Amino acid sequence: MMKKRFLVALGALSGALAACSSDIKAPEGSGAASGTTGNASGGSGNATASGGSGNGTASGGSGNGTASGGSGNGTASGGSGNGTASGGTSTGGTSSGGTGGSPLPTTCQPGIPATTQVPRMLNRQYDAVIRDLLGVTTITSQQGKKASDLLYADFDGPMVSDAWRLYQQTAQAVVAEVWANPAEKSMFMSCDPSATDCLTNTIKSFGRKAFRHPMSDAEVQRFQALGATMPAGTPDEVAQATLEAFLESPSFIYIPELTTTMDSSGAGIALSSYEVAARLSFLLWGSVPDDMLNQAADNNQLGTKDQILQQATRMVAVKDKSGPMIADFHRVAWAQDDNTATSHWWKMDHDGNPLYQSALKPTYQAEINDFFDDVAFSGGSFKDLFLSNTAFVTKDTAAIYGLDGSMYGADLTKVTLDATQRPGFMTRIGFLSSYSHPSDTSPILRGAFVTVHMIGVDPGPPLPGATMTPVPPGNYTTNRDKITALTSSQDACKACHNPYINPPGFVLENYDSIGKWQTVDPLTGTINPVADVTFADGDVRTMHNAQELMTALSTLPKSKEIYANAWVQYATGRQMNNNDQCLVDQINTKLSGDGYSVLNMIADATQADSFRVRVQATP
Amino acid sequence: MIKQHMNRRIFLRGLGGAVVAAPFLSSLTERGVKAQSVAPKRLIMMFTHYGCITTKFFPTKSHGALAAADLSPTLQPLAPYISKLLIPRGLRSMNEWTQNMVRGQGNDPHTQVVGSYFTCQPVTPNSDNPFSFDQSTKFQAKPKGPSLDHVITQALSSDGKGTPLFMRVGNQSDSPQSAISYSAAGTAFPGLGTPSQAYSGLTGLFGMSGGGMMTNPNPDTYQSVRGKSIIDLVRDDLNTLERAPMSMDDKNKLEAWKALLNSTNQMMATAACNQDVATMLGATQANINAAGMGGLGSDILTTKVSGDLDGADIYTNVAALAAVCNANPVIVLKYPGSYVFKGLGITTESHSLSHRLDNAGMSGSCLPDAVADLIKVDQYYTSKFAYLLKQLDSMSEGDGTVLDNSATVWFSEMSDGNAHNLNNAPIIQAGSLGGYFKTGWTVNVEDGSATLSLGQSESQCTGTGSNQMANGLAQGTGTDPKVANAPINKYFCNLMNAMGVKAGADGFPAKGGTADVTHYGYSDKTEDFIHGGTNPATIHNPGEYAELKAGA
Repeated sequence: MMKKRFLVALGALSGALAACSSDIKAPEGSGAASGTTGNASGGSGNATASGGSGNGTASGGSGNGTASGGSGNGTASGGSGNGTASGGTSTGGTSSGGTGGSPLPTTCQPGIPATTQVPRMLNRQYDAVIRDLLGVTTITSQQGKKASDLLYADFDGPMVSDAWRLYQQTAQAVVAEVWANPAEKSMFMSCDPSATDCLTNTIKSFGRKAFRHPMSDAEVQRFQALGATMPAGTPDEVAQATLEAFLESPSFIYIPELTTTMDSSGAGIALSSYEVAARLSFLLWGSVPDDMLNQAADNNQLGTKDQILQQATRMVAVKDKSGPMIADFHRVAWAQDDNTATSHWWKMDHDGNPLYQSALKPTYQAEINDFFDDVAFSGGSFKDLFLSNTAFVTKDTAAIYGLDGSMYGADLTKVTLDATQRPGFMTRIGFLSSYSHPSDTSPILRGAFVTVHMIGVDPGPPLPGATMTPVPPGNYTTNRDKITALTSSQDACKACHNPYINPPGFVLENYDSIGKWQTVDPLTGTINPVADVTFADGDVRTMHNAQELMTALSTLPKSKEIYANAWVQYATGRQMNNNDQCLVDQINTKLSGDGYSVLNMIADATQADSFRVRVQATP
Repeated sequence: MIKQHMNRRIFLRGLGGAVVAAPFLSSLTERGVKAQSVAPKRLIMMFTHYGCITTKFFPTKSHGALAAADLSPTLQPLAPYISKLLIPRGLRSMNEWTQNMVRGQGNDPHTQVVGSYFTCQPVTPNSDNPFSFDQSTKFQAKPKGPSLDHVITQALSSDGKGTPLFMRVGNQSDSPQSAISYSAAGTAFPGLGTPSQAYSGLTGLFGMSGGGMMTNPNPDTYQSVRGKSIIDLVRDDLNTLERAPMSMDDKNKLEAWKALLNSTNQMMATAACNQDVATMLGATQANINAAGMGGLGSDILTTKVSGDLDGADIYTNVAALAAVCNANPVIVLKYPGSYVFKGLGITTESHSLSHRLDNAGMSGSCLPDAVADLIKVDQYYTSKFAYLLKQLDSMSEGDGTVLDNSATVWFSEMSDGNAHNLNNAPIIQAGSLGGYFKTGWTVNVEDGSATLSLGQSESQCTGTGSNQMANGLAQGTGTDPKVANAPINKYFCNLMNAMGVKAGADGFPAKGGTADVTHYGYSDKTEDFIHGGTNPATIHNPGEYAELKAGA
């Protein structure tokens, strides 16, 4: 009930915040807190409760509908369920989530979720696959773009004409790229195409990797037909057509799961070892299995959780392959850098600041990626995402961190910063410069990010009369004073801004609009980072600095739940359902334990029963 | 550097009788081409977010014949096309968000608006709490039916599976909070993000018509059979997959792909679909390559690419080429949300700007120049729309121009971006679509009055007492909800009928129908959307707007 009461207390959040909240997207966890349980009755209850008090303090939790089970009930997702489908249908994962249909789950319902049998390879996975299969990373004929830049955007639903056309065009561009580079061509075929059996051997060997299973005779014959046409092609022409056909094949673009053998548990259909291998490699590497994983599949050594974990543990340690996925999950899915209208990342310029260059945004972004990867591959855990003082700088970015730029080159170099000033990803240039205004900080933007995405606030309805408010006239000496005056001008605003939204932003006032440490405000006043931050109902603590705030966030149960939820949604590639919530609960529980690293969590996504057993969607 | 000179009209050879059949030519795309004797019909849509400063936008009168002097300062770039404009006034789009949920669902001020705009369907899952932050209702809710662009293309394609040419100008990703195109209930259609992606589809059509530019491979070479052989292989693979037991949803995916392989499709490439015309339109590979060079967070819309052409213009050039090629009956240019128009000297993203504050998400500092900046954005959009008209009007086709044979319509998400109100919708059409629509007029479809409200969008957040006017939550700006409520559904019926879409006996668009379309969407009454459409679909006021038709 504690969580629910907390949400009731938040019912008085600024109306403008709630009304025009496109700028801030709710974390996955916040939906869990209010979606199913809140619904209509909860909403009206909240309105009444908060409207009466008007100060955002807890006003009791009665009449708020069903309480969520919340975290801590992490029972294993046993195999006794019958796999009843719930939630939207899965489509193999897209940026837009599933097909909707029901609010996010809040309670674990043991069982296997129904999933599509023809999930489509995501565009980021396509890039990794052609890198691993062919050594292709960029397409010379297309201005050096990545293949994913040429492809149709990730999408739900059936194949559409533009998507199919761009698959074909991209395949042709990749073939041209491969044929222009002997090293890449040798990865496709290691023999003279005119030699006896060369093409057939290539079909079998390349097809084993590209299709993630041994080629059947029928599949081999299907490809051999490309060399049996009239008029006939030269061996080289046929070889090129063969590679193009592989890259355009549904068995390549989809990751089919077609076996029908029931699992001994009776919970669903047991995936074949090849299908498990594909799930492992696309989850952990965003790519096809390597030789070791293929061998394990060939030997049918992926049938148990232990066998799967053994491979997963090996695979996550391969930084070159798992690193991009790990960075992508943390930056895009968890930290909201997703190139949508609602994302704040990279939209802000600071042209008047000589230390900041808009052209370096890719570098600032790469620094964030490197940070997340460093935390993961140094054995770091959830708390290190908030506390690690490792950073990556170049000659152009070092000064923002108070370092001498002449000591560094153009490439990002790993450094150790002051742990009190630079704890975690939210104290890096990328976040701080994006969640700012051009020439001054934005405690509201920063505070809202922390409050919504890390603490998990779900604001309720505003007080009557809430409005969008200008800053009252005054001679402010700090931005904090200005924002305080702004959000205190109406009860409706201050009821939520002052206790919830603003304080985390105020604690981050030691970072100027580009992320440089500051102790004196540009308005000439002394920076005061001390603020009372509300972490949960009844949990209000005075934070004296960023390090203290980040430490608190790193141990906050709700923050861990949000993180676990984001990971499970990313890993499954679909909107959450009640079955998935079981895995969230398991991971959430472990995040509170000792020695549970980010890589442990990544690998744990493979330990759910639903990772090796599927249920067919109906109808 | 390529400078475009478009001061002469390009005559499209052969149109009106010379579109010719062509065999399958490449593995890139496959289109059946057959003779036709009339100019193609097209609906070309431009969509922008957050409405406009309505007082500076609408013409001075809301009903009557238009003269250039009637155009507002914002719309002055459209003056050269005054005789071809049709400005429908008094329209309302469906499913408005309000804080007390009196004119629609309680999901989100944007999610439900964009989801319902072209579908006229509620979004699901529904929220009855306008202030809930539930992820699924506020940020992931999707409409219960397809959007107009798909309804039309599906109806006009021979196999019912046609898709529009949908371009996301600026290549920003859309979430349900900004997406407007849905191929089916709950199925977002992302479309194409770069001009290059669209252009590469059009070049495949070059030479598929008359004019001696055919590039058939030599039938004695492997190239003549290569493409078909690969298609056969893909089909065989799909057939094999399809034999496995799987859900209908999965089987439908495979079937849809197979249908694309079999496509001898819907549209007819025109004789003018060739490289020369592409070059004259500025749809060149050099321009397209240059337009694709925007960096992280850069303003690629306003960045100059070649001469006066900016990034957005390159998308327009490709759209114009697609229109000439008759690649799709519906073409959409969708501009991004929350965009920072740095090239216009604006540093605040457009959503916050629409609220006159430096932070749309919550109470923020007043932006003292917000209205001036918003007018800059409106003017920029107008100039882009004017450029689109210029490109289309530069192409002679039959007795008129491509513009004349099309309906080119600029829609905006809402009327006033601060109030989120959907009545008094700012919509500008150009072109009669082959004589179907009246042009040179603004038509108040609600009551024919020439004095319809312009709204009150100029309110500035100043901190000196006018903040109530800038109060978006209480709709302190916007237009009185009692006026300008004629349902947009009927205008969509106009567009569908003009395009040749037919309806079934119930008046809803239907493949194989023979009647005029008189019904569209879940309801034409925005209040029916409250609670997410719990009653059976009801069109209270069926039919189209006769007053928008030529001769009316």
